[in-house]
Amino acid sequence: MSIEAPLFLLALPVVLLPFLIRWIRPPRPLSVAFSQMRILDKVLRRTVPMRRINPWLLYLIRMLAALVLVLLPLGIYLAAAGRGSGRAAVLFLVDDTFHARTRTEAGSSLWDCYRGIVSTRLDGLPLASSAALLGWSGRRLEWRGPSELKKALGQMPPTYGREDWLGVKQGIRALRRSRSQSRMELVLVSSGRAGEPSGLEQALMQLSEEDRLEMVSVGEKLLGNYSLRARVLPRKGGALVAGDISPPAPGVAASAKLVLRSPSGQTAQQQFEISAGKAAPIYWEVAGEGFAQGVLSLDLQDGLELDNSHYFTAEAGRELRVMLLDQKSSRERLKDAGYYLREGLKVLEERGVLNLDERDPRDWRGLLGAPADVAVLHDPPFLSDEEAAALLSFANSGGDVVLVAGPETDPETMDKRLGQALPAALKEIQKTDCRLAPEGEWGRRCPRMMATPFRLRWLFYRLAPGARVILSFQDGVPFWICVPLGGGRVHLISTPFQLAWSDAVVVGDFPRFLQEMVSALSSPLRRGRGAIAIRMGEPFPRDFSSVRALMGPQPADLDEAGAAPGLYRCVLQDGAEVVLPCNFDPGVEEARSPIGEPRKKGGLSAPPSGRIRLDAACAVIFGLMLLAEAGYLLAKRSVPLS
Amino acid sequence: MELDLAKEVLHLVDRMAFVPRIRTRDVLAGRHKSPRSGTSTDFLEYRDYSPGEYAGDIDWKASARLDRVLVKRKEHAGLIQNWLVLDGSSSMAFPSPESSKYRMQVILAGVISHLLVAQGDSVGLAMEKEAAAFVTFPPKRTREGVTEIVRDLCSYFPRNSSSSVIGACRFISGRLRRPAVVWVMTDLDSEPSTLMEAAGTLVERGHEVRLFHLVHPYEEDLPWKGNCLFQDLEYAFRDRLLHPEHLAALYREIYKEHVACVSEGLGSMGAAFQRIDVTSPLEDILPLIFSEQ
Repeated sequence: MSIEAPLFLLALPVVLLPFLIRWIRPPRPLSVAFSQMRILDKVLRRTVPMRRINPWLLYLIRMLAALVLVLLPLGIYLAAAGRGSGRAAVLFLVDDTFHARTRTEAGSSLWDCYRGIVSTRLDGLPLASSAALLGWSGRRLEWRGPSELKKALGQMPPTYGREDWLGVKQGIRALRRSRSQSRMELVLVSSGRAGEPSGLEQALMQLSEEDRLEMVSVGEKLLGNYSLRARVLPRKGGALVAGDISPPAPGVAASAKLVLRSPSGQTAQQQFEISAGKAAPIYWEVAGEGFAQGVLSLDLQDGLELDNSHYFTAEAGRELRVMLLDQKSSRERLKDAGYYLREGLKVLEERGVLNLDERDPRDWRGLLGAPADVAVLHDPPFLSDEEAAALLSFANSGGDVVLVAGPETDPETMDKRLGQALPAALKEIQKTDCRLAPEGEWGRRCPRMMATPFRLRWLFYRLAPGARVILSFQDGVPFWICVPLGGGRVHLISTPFQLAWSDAVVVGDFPRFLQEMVSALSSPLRRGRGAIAIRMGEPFPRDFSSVRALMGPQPADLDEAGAAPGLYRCVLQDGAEVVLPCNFDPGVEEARSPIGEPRKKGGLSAPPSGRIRLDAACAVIFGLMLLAEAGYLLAKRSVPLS
Repeated sequence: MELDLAKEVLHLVDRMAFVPRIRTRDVLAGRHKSPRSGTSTDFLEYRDYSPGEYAGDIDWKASARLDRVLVKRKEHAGLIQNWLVLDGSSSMAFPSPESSKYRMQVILAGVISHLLVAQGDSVGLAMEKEAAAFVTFPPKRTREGVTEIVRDLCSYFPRNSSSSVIGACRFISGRLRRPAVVWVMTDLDSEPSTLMEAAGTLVERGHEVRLFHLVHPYEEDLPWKGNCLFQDLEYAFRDRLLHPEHLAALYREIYKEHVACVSEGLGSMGAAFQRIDVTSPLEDILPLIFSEQ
């Protein structure tokens, strides 16, 4: 049994108040030896009927208070009895991702099937039951009655997003907390595809032993529905198309053809076989000049038209692939020079910001053609010709090479091996007490990092032509310099991420600082492109390589009625903003950016129920009545005649 | 009760005089008019001479004028009896022994007695201390008599007494043989009809009744607030626990009706009624006592 209004317990001491008042200050009337009692009796004879009203009124108030005292526990008992009859709260875990838009052979969509299943279940629940809905995209409908949930579900479309298992985990926890539920019945409604198994399993680990899990799948045959995530990267002598195609549902295998059309009209095609229930990775190297600026399109060869019900190419950008080239200097973790950087990048990998690949820096062969976007060389003591050549080749091919200078770094070797590719020559290690200059987003997102002084730093000199300072110290000494090289860039950072050089590695926002660095690495330094509208389903125009981030409709995009006009913005890797057709409903809540935090706009959580709880109302009324009586007793204290 | 009618108090009445309305039938010579003709210098009337009368009373000038023998009759100035009828009920103890209505009553009784004795009148006292237990002093014209009265009054303080001034009025009305001035002092804590009946009996028998209503302002206003236990000074079982502020307005109204009933009733039968505020200074009270009404 639980008390539905535990705050009522705070009002219980008020019951003692009248007794305390009477005990501490018993009402002693003023004694008056009066001479005209004869006349006073005449007065009393005339006023007796009126005097008798007040005590009755007080008696009525007391009876009402006693009635509340009796009814309240009774209400609690009945509520507990009802709850103990076996109907726990029911939580529907429904696949509301883009897969839910898959059509069935019968002509409806998976989402309609899911809704039907949930509605049928809700109809079978008692009226007093509570039910909630949690989508795989992370959005949720809070606890409410079965009929209310059914109504809200009827107005809720699926999203265009992907699964958010972290959101699902948090949703289960939040729903359990909001209801103080000790036991839940979980109904998993999907098409039978497991999505990312580890994600779903981890989400379901939020369930306790008392919870009951039921899995319901749709038995309909499904038609095609795919999600393409791809980008075209320039490579020497050609381009690289990297990404994946996600299938709609298990049991659906298909073929897909990617077509890359260069500005000169050349086309390249690649067939992909998509296995049932698995995303097909795309790593397609295209030879030929001009393809780096090519247009990518998808042909699924199933005769279906490219419309918004079936195909869409709008996707959140993939994680940045970071290759860490760092040789462990010590077996003891904290004494390893690259410990903090490695751990920081691992945190970002867990967050889905990047994809980390750790390699031995001496494996220079593996560096060539590696599927990476950024190669980080941490405090290299030595750089051979082959290693230097591999790095430069990587940069020329469009990758970012990040050299983190440290105590072991040999300036002469760097200068000799990398030459003009190095953004600046390393001069010497200097003792300092300087902090980084908090420019723009750096200061806002990493304030503690900006406020922590550095003890040691490398001084640069002789900046290479075209080099740019991305971040500097407050005294103007560069911290991070970059120079373009071929299709990519070479970066130089003046301090390693070691405790001996700065306490910045142990401040709370060090991972955020790394994330900002990764964000800066994944975007070009130039800005200023105009927005271009693209219809859903159309291939990306030539100047776009990939989608870096998705943002939901911004306030400036909404019309006067507050509705999204059907467009949303994308910020591409080269910094351009793209306005894409927005098929999200107004107020859709989430679009994930690989860099930074998920952006949420609006929400589909249902507003809290406006039902006033009878027990809480009784507690409030009872408390007020007791306070009124206490005030009445206090006011009746006698006042001596002065 | 300690009381010293010092000269500071008594001198206030030195220049006062009391002239009753009734005519005395006292044969003794005094200041007040008497229905008898006597040896006063005040002319009363002319009357025909009857044989055998004292020839010295013949007014020869008037007789010569009117051509018949006339006798001049002069007024007879006689003495008048005064009776103090005091209220010895417990209600006179209000509000406190130091400032009670009874104390003021005794002071007034002493002052009145002093004045009357000074002008040659006699003063007696009647008071009911307990039910049917009266204390009386026959009228005397001496200061010692006044002192004795005052001393006796001071030796008594009304407590738990259910006596009434009505009883004293009835007591003396059966004993008075000649017209007298009856000075009644009471706080009107009795039934108006009964009081007026007693006063009316005295008036019918030719006595002059002067009733003084001794009142404390608290009795008229009922100024208390809050939870009050009103204890009857006379009867213990008449205690009442009240909130007087809720009843004050109605109480004042009924009290006024009560007093008006008595005053109008007494006025209609020719008795005098005067309200005396016991908290007022004596300089203000005494002119009211002896004023003609």
